[in-house]
Amino acid sequence: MTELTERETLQHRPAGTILFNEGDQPRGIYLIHSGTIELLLRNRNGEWKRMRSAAPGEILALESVVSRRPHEYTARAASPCDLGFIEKESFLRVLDENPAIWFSVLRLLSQGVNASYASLRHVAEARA
Amino acid sequence: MPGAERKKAMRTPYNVDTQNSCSDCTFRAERQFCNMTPPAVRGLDAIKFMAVYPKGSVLFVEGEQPRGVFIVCSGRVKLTTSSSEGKTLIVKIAEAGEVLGASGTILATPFEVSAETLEPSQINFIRREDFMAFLNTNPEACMHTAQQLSEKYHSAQREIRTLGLSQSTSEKLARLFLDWCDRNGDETPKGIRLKVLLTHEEIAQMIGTTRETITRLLSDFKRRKIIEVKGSSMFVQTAALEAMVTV
Repeated sequence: MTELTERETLQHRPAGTILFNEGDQPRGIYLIHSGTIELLLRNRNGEWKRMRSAAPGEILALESVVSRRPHEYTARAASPCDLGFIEKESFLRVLDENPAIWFSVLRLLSQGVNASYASLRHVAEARA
Repeated sequence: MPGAERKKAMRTPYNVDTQNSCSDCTFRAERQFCNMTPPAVRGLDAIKFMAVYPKGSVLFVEGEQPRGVFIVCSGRVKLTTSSSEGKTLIVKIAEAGEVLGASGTILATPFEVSAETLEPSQINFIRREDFMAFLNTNPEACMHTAQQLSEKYHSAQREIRTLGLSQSTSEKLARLFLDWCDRNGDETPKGIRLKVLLTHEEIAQMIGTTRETITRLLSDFKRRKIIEVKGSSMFVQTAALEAMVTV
């Protein structure tokens, strides 16, 4: 994934920073280098629900960039974070130029799908 | 289906219109995964095994080591997971054009969900080694697979939202019906018409409740004229449902 880190813009974000809100159109992907990001859902009454935390090594917003759909959740820094940000167009260009990266992207998306199913089981059990 | 346009389709014992060749498939342009360039589709044709399944066929089960991916060419498939107490939760109803089992196949980890046909269906199967080789040589197929995975991810997030944020079971049911209206509803003077092809038990499994609760809630919705049921059709007053949801 060196091709990706070559394109990233490094950012330091204090705890509490919102990286993106649910419903926003994706602007790019976030590589978490340090710190923890909370993935949150909010209902119409303003009540928050923490879905899960994302840790260093994870990439956020990949699924929204690939599908060109709005974010399904809000991402908020739970602690001070060091992040790498890559704009959507730049990321898609890297994929075009380096097809080998697709395999890493597919693995990351697959992990995201499996983690979502695990969260779903957890939520269903908690509410049963 | 217009006969002339769909002439490649063949009838089978389960009364399913089958498409033997991906290259000649008359639905391909409408299907996100299959809509690839002709050389890639020929590659897909060379590695797929076509099969037709009756209703209730189990394609794979949660915990099983993946043998490959399944492409739903026609019909519908329910994807379920089980809680630690053994309760079944339907995480998605997959429709024609969807690829199933991709995340487990790519990661070579056991399937997280089970898949069972809800009606007679044509399902094409691709062995894991063939699928991985296909991806390795086709960036286009990688992109289409990534979009399929992203869809599954979004769908699971929506389900988490419904189950995790709803205040009551009636709200979960209202949210489910609104989703169905958005995706498959037809506008009529009597409200949005839905074809309900699931049993009360299956509706219960979609929102993590019991069949008895669904039967009671449907009676309540009918009494309040939020829904009207005629055979397998249901007419829905979406404004009344919107007023019930907070998610």
